[in-house]
Amino acid sequence: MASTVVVQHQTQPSFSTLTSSLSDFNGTRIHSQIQQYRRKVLQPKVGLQITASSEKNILIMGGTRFIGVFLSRLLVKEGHQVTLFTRGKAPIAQQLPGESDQEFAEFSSKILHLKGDRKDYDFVKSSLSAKGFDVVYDINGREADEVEPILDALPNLEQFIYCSSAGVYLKSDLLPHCETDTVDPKSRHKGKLNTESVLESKGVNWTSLRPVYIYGPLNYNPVEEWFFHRLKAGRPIPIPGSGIQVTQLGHVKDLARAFVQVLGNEKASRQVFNISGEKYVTFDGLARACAKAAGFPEPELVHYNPKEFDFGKKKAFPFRDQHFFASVEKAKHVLGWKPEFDLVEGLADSYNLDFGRGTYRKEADFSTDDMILGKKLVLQA
Amino acid sequence: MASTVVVQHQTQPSFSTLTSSLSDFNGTRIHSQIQYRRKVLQPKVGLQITASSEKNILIMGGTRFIGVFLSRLLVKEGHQVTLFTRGKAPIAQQLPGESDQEFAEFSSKILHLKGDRKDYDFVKSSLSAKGFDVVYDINGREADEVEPILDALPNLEQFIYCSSAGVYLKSDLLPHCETDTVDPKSRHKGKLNTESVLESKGVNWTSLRPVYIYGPLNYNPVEEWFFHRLKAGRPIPIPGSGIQVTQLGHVKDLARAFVQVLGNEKASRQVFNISGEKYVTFDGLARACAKAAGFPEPELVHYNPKEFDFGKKKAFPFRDQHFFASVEKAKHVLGWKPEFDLVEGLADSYNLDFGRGTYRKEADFSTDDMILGKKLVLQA
Repeated sequence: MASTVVVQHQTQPSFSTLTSSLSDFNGTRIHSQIQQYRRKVLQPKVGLQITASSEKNILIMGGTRFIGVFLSRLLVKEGHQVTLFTRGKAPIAQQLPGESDQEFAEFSSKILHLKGDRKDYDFVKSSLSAKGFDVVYDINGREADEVEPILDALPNLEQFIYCSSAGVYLKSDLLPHCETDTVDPKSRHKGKLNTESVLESKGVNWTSLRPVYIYGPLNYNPVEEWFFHRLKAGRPIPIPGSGIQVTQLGHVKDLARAFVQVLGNEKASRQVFNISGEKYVTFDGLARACAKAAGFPEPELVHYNPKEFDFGKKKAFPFRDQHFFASVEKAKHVLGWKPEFDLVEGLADSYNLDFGRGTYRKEADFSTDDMILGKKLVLQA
Repeated sequence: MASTVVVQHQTQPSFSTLTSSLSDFNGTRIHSQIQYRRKVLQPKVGLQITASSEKNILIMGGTRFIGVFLSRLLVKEGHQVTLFTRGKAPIAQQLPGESDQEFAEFSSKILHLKGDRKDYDFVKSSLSAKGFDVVYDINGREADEVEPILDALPNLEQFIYCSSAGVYLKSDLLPHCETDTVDPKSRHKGKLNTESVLESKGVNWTSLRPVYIYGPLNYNPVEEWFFHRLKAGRPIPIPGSGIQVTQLGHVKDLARAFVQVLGNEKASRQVFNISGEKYVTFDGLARACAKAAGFPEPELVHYNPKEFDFGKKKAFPFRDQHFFASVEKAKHVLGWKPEFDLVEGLADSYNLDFGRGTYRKEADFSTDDMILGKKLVLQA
């Protein structure tokens, strides 16, 4: 039977990033009618608990698109002075869905901007040393050379906090990935790995967080959006292979909280932490979770062999076709961090604040779906 | 390229269950050239448990697999240990690698209570006559089996139960955690019912939920199934994609967990998943068995189990689904941690059991031949 969930939009819900935005959902708590999505621990959703930190002068490299949007708000609310280093392509501050006018006004009045090209060594070095920041969050760095001018500019930097990726781990028969696992010097994310090595070699107090797949409102990587487009269109969901590949999603707000929890935290000094959701999910299970979260009926899943197709440059599916998941136990033990969102709650948060309001980043493109579905029809004919 | 590991048998290796038997392997440490790098380099220390006063302990079962290792640990700790068994198997059998002296010491101390645990009256009267402090129920399957034990021992300090992660309801979301929904209709519902009875009776109980257990003397053909095929140079038939994720836990790590909950307040009325820290795919497990036992990388043959009727025979030793559980609660709350990683553990099993020519079930390749035969026909 189809499992449907009715999610009602509150009129002008208030949006606060410090307290969990699940407070938006008090009237719309999703009650699972099936067993597998039961909440692990019934605990009140409390606001962020971090050790009192003196006010710091913080620079965020990036900060206008996704992670930084939430992180910057948390830091500003904590009383820190926050500057975003961006090219200026996007507005420095945009009102979030659900964010009250007052909250947004307060944030945008406080957030500062440093406009420039981070690939320009000289500019980065001179502008940063002129301002003298206490802490740098590097949210959008990709290559090791990008951190050099930052470190050169700020010899007294208290902490360099880096957004790395669990994509650095070498593929293995043995999972989950743990922070001490072998990394892959040839992976697509080797720039992140090289950056971590440079940080370690420079003697700066660094911390690196390795997310898996990040999701949540404003996601510019079409992860949940990819499923939502198809669910909304009433289309089957084409899934490569068996559909039992195990993956893992982490909510952007939980990641932002982790970034705040490592700030000024001695236990995070020169440490890497995997940050993601606590439960892993199969591709098939994720399709079902998206449907459940967004109030769609259980979707039709169509499996196909990706080797039988040439999709050209297009991606037929948003996830790497393999198991990919990491243990977050180190962050839980060492930092006392814990994801607040479970998968269905988190997908509902994303849907209610973004796709469900008619906003998304990429237009629907069903061309690869049609190739797959077309072939299936031919075979069945 | 085939990854081969040479594992050399030491002459008369000493076998001690208290210290990790990895001490046997000092000369044969397997160095992984692929990704099986050990997580943390720490010395293999002996079991660290809080000093426990000597207890009068009863083990239901104890002559076949888990109890064999557990009873030795408890006797070494100075407890008085009795095994309740039907007497079909000898109460004590010398383990591969166990020295004559160690075995003599153990067998001189272990006690036997012979009877049928399904006989309520006998269990109740014999147990109340002896008055045990702690009961380990290693072989219980149904809830009614614990009733006479609890009725016989009103002052029981602790009832420690070997349950199973098989109680968890199958889910899209994994790993299984102790608070996850359980399946009242599973094949293991007797274990679940037993846990419920324990909770309802008010006794101080602890329940451990292993996943797949492996190690020397395993009577469930888990690793043995792979070893038979590797030894015969046969391909390994694996159902479906081969990427189903499962999890194995070494029997010695499980035995240590059983000891670590003894007299432990933090374990009172708690369940703990106990297994290895890393999960593995079916394909990966085949490779790990080969690596551990020094065989070349095996040929894996995948098949659709729905295309075959194997009758009553099992064509593969694992349930055809993802099945793995988080052991983080045991790690946090008990400070327990598995000592064996998968390849080391499989090597321990191979070196002390199959590799010496011992196993529980004869090789039976009939289902393999059905699968391989069909593949040949399709390719012809």
